[in-house]
Amino acid sequence: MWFWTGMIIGIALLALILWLKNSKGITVRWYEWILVLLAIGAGSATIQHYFSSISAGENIAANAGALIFGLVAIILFAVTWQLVIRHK
Amino acid sequence: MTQFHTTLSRRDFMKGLGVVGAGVGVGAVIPPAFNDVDEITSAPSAITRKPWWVKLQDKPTVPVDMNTLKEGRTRSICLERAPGYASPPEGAETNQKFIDYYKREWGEWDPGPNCQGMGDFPFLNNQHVGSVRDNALMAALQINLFGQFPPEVVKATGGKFHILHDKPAGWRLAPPVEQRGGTKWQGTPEENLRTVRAAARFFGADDVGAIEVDDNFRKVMWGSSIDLLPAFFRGEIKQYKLEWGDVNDFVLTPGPVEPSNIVIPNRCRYFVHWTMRQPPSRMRHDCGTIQGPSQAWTYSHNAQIGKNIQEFLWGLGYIALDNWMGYIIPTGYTGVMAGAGELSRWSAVLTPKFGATTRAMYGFLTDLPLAETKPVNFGAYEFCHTCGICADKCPMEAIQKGEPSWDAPEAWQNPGYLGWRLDLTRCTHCPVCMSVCPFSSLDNSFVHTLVRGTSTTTTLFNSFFASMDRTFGYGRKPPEDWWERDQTEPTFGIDSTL
Repeated sequence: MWFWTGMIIGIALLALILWLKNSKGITVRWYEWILVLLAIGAGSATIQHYFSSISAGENIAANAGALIFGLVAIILFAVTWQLVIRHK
Repeated sequence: MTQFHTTLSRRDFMKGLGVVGAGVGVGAVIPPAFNDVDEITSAPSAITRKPWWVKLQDKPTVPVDMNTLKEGRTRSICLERAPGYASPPEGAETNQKFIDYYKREWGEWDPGPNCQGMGDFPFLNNQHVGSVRDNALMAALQINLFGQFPPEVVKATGGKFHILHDKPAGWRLAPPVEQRGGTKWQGTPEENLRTVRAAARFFGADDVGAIEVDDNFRKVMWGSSIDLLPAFFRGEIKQYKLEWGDVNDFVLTPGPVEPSNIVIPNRCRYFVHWTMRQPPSRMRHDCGTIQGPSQAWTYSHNAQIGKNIQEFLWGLGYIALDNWMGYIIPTGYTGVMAGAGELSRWSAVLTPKFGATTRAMYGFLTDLPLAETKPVNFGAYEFCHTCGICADKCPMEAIQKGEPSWDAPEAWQNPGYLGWRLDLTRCTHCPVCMSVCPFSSLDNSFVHTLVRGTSTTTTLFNSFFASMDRTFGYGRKPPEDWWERDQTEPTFGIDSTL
């Protein structure tokens, strides 16, 4: 599972970089990369926590965890996105 | 005016750098504890593998004072009350307390048929474990429960044999290995531990450790013990004496079955410890005025696994005396000293991987030389100080709240350790505390790995972690839900891989 998760994230990131560079002419600064990586980390944590909790029958924990970690991921993505488009 | 400045001068900084550099240099010169990969893989710590967050240490986390620790004082028995023994409560009032508790938990709870004729607690017939489906699980698990033989078989032996544990020194069904054209197994203590571990896990055990029999062990050991079974099933309390002597084999008098005196050879200088979990995914759904199906499942299996290990030792050419049910020494002491886990608030051993759901914590006195395993520290004893969920949820208020203590006010309790003491006159052995313990959590969420790694290192966040466990709704689950679950879990509901 981890192989395919890594593969999909890697391909998606590469596609995003190429698309931003070639089509949109968007540049991403070094600290924005760090924020993106943190956001991806929080997003992965949300997915991992949610599905492992559901598979163990811990529905409340799954939802509560998804809310907390998911919010962090969304905020990080949103902040990064705003930073990027503002210096386009 | 307050001035903020560094208290570290440049000179001190450079001196510190020098000390660190010297430390690294010395570390590089001093030979490592292990000389090669073989040594690493044959170390006792590698043989009894623990999760990465578990620390091994020379002393257990619970403070123990061997000068005040008394031998043979913790006495509990699941029988009608007897002088000097703590027995579980019984009666309609206790039953009603549980029925009300489960109704509060789930909105409604069907107590189902009673457990009349079932051997879990033979004197407490009017017990309930839930609807007829749950009750049928208990009925099914009467086969081999505690290793009992069916009544017809007992009758056919004239009442001489009752259970697999009739012979504490083993059945020895195979003739000695020398009589079968072989020689006894000879290995290093590390190889022996690895060998026993491999076999024990093959039979169904989980963890295996070992301790040497020293003066402390002999002190904690019962001077006399109670023959819990089979006398238990006859409604009797029968004692037998244990003593050490220069004998070649265990001397059981008047005979190997239900002895009243056992002389242990002085050369039995090792204690091999083994554990077995009960199905945790069922455990969380168990409801009962007394033990539930997951507990009964373990007792219907661990009796045989224990005897398998004992007969395996015999097959290697070594003798062993059974500590099943703590016949010869308290299982809390051996579990903590052999590194199975830490002493916890619910007053039993909390294990790093399975929390409070490890049911079997037994072992054998043996003459097979074994490498010692060390006590563990994964922050559980400290976590119990601030958590207390088990004590809050206990339907009978049997688990001690507040700080641990050296006091042992009851005759059947033991002083000599700074711990929490379970009130055995209140505990009915119901399934609640084991399922609510945060260390019993089942899922593989990264959060739990993070929490375990953190609480091993610092106590700073323990209160927060305990609060989050309550908020996230871990622990108990509705009994009916278990029947509707996808059967994606391992057989027996136990993933004992590490």
